[in-house]
Amino acid sequence: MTLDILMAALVSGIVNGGLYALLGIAIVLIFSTTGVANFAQGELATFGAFAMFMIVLPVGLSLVVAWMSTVVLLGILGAVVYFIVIRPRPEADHLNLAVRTLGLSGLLHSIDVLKWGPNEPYRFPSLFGSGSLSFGTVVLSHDQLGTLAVAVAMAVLFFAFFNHTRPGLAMRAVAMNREVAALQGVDVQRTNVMVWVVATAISATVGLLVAPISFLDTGLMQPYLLKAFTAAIIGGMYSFPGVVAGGLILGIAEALATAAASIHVREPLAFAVLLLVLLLRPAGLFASSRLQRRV
Amino acid sequence: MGDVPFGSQEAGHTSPRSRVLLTVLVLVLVAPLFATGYMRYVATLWMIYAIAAVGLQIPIGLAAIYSFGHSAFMLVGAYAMALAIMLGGWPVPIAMLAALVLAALVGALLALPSLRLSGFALAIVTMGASSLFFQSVKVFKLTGGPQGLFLPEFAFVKAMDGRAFYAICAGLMMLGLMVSHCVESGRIGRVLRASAANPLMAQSFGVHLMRVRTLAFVISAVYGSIAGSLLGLSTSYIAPEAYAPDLSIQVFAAVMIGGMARAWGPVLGALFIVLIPELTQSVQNLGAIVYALIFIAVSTVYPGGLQQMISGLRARLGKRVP
Repeated sequence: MTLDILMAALVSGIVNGGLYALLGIAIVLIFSTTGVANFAQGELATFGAFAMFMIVLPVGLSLVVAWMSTVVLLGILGAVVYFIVIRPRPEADHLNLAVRTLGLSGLLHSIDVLKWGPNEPYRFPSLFGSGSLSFGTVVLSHDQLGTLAVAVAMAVLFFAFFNHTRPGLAMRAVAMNREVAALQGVDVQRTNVMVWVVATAISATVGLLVAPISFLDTGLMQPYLLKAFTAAIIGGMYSFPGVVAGGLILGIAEALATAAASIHVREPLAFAVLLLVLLLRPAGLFASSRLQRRV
Repeated sequence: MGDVPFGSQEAGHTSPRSRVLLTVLVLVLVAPLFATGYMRYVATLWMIYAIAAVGLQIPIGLAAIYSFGHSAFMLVGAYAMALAIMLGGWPVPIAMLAALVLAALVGALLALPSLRLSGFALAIVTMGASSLFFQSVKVFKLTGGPQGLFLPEFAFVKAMDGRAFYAICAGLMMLGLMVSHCVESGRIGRVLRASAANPLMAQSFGVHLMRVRTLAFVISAVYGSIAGSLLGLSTSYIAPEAYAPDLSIQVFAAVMIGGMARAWGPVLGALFIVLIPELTQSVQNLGAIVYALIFIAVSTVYPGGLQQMISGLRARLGKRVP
C-alpha cells in the first residue's frame, strides 16, 4: 500500500466517519434527554434529502437557500413527530418509544418509496462543485472537503449551542436529571421539543451531505444508521465527544481495511471494532464515572 | 379472533377462561385447513412468524434482554438446513435438527457479551451480529452469494394443497407455545424474571447470571432456527434479503405489538405483521404506508400492545353487561 493510497483512504475514512459522528450526535442527543432510541433517525435524513430535491428545489430557490430551508423544514417536522408520535401516553416505557420510532421509520420509508421510488436513483446536486484540489500526490475532491467542512461546522455549532446557550444548557440539565431540572425551573416539555427539532435538523444535514456522494435513493441512509448507533455505543451513549471519536474511529478503520484488503472486510471490521471497544471499556470510551452508574 | 372470549369473561377465574381461550385457539388454527389456498399460505406464514416471535419473547419478556439478533438465528436455520440437504443429502428433519444445534451455538456466542453490556448496547451488538451474518452469506460462494440457495422441491410442502405443511407449522407453533409456557411458569422463568428485576439480588440468591442469560439466548435461537428453516421450506428458495436485519426488527415488532403480558401476545403480533401487509397489498405501495400508520397508531395508543387493546375492549363490554 503506497502512501497516497493510504492518504486517500484516510481522507475518505475521515469524511465517512464525520458523517457517522454527526448522525450519532443526533442519536445521542435524543437518547440522553428523552430516553428514546430513535431508529427513525436515518429515514428522517433520507426524507430530508428527498424533500430538498423534490419539494424545495423545484420552487426555484438557489442551492444554498434550498439547503438552509430544508434543514429548517426538517426541524419543524421533528417537532411534529415529537407531538404526534412521542408525546402521547407519557407513561410508556423506553422500549415502547423505540418501537414507535421503528414505525415512524417504516412510514417515512414507504412514503419515499411511493412518491419517489419508481425513478430512483437520482443525481443530487452538490453544493461544492465537481472539481478537486491536489496536495502533492494526494487529490481531494471538492465534495470531500466541503462535506468535511460542513460536518465540522455543524458539530462546532452544535457544541457551542449545547454548552453556551440557555436552551442548550436546559437540554444538558434534562439529560442529567429530568426531575431536578424541572424543579430548577427548566420547562422539560419545551426542552424535549427543542431536542427533536435540533436532532432532526442535524440528521437532515447528514442526508443532504450524503446524497451528492452516493446517488439519492430510498435506501440512502440504511448503511449509516447502524454505523451511527455503533459510534454512539463506542462513545458511551451519553457522551458527545465520545460519539465523535467513535464515528471517526469507525470510519477510518473501515476505509483502511477496505484499501488494504477488500470491501467485504468492512462489515466484519466495524463489528470487531465495536466488540473490541466494549470488551475493553463496557460502558464506552468516554463514559464518566458519574454517568456510568446510570447506563 | 372470534367474539367468544370477550363476552363471557367477567368471572375472571383462570380455568373457564383458559378453556374458552383454548377453544378459540384450536378453532382459529383448524380454520385454515378449510380455507382457500392463498389464505392457507398466509396462515402458514403467520405460524412461522409466530414461532419466531414466541421464541423472541423469552429473552425480551422474561429476561429484559433486547435482542435484535433473531434474524441471525433464522438465517442459520435456513442456510444450514439447505446446505445439509444439498451437500450432505440429509433428510429434512435431520437437517433441521443440525441447523438447530448450530443456531443454539450462535445463540450461546451472542450471549457472551450480555453480562457486560447495558440493554441498549446489547441491542446494537445483536443487531450488528445479524447484519454481519447477512453480509457474510452474500459474500461466500458456498452460501450462494447474493443469489441465495435454491432448495430441491419437497413433495410434503405442496401436498394436499399445502394443508400438510400448514399442519406441520401449526403443530410446531403449538408445541413452541407449550414449551414457552413451561419455561415461563417453571424454574427457568422465575430465575429469568429475577435476573431482569434485579441482577445483583438474583445473584445473591444463587442465580448464575451468565448461565441463565445464555439459556435465554439458546432457547430463543432454537425457536428462530426452526422458524427460519420452515420459512426456507415454504418458499423453497432462500434469498439473503429475506433474512436481512429487517427481519429481526419485524419479529421484534411482532413481540412488542402483540404485547408481552401473556404468552399468546406474540402470536397475535405475528398475525398483525403478516396479515396487515397482505390485506393492504391490493393498493400496492400505499399499503406499506397504511401498515406503518396502523403500526404507529397501535404502538402509540396501546403501549401494552394488542393485548391491552383487547383487555380494554373487554373491560368496556363487561361494564355494559354487569
